[in-house]
Amino acid sequence: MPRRPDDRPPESFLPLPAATFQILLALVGEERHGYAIMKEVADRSDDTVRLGPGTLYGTLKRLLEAGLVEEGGERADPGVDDERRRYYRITKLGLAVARAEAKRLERMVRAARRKKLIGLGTA
Amino acid sequence: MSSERCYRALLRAYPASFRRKYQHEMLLLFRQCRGDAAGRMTRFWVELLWDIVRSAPALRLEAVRARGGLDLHIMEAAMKTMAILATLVGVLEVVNSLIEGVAGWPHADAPWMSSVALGVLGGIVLMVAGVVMIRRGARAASQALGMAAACLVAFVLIGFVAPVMSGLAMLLGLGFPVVLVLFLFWRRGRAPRVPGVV
Repeated sequence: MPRRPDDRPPESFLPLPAATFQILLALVGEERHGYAIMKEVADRSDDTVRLGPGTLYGTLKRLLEAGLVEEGGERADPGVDDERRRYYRITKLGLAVARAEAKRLERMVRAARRKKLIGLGTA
Repeated sequence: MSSERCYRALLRAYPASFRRKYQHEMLLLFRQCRGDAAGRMTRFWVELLWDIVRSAPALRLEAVRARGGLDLHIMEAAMKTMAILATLVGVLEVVNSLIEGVAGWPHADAPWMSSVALGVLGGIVLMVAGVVMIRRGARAASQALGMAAACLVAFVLIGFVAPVMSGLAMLLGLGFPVVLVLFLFWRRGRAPRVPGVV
C-alpha cells in the first residue's frame, strides 16, 4: 500500500533543494500567493536568490504533492492588484521538514566554523 | 507580438497538465515582474528564458512518468525500432538467398539448394517476426521470440550444410536473431507492473 505523505519522517525529505527551502521559509507563519513568496525570497536574500515563475510554481506543485504545502483559497491582494490569486500555506509536515533542514544547515555551519572557514577574522 | 503573448507562447514548453493549473498565476506573476523590471528588460527576459530552460524539462519528465511511465515510452520506441530492423534484415536475407540461388543454379547440388531454401525460410521468419512486433498483438513478444530462435537455427544449419551465403549475410543471419532474443528477454524483465503492487 502506498504511504501517505504524513507517514514519511521529515528527515527523509532532506537535503532540500535551495528553492524548496526558500519557499518553505517564506511560508512559515504566513500564507502567501506566488508573487508574495517571490518577493519575500528576493528581499530576504538581498536579491541574490530570484525565483522565476517556472521554478516557483514547479516547486510549489511538488510541495503540494508531497503534502508539505496546501492551498489556502483564492482572493485578491489589495497590496498588489485586483486580480484573485491562489494562496499557499505550509502544513505541519512542511514545518517539520523546514525545521529539520534548518538544523541540518546549522550543523554544517557549525562544522565550517570549527574548521575556521567562517567566523571571526574571515571575510 | 506583445511581450505577454510571447511569454504565453513560451509557456507551451511546460506540460499541458501543469499549464492548466498554473498558467493563469504564472501570467499574473509575469505581469508583476515585468512591471518591477522596468528599464532592465534585457535582464528580465534572459532570467525568464533561463527559468524556462531550467524548469520545463524536469516538469515534462515528471508528467511523462505520471502518465504511465517513462520506461513504457522507451520500451515502445525500442520495440518499434527492433520490429523495423527485423523486417528489413528479413527482406535482405530473402533477397540475398534468392540471388545466391539464381547465381549458383547451373551447378546446384542438394546441400547447396537446402542452404538457399533455409536462407529464404530464415529471412521470411524474421520478416514475419518484425510484422508481428509492429502489429503488437497480445502474444507478439513470445511469438517474435520463437521466430527469432527459428531464424537462428536456420542460419546455424546453413553453416553446417553448405555455407553459400556471403560473410555479411551470415553475420546478419546469426547476429540479428541473437540480438533480438536478448532484447525480448530484456524487455520481458522490464515489463511494467501493476501500480501499487510491489
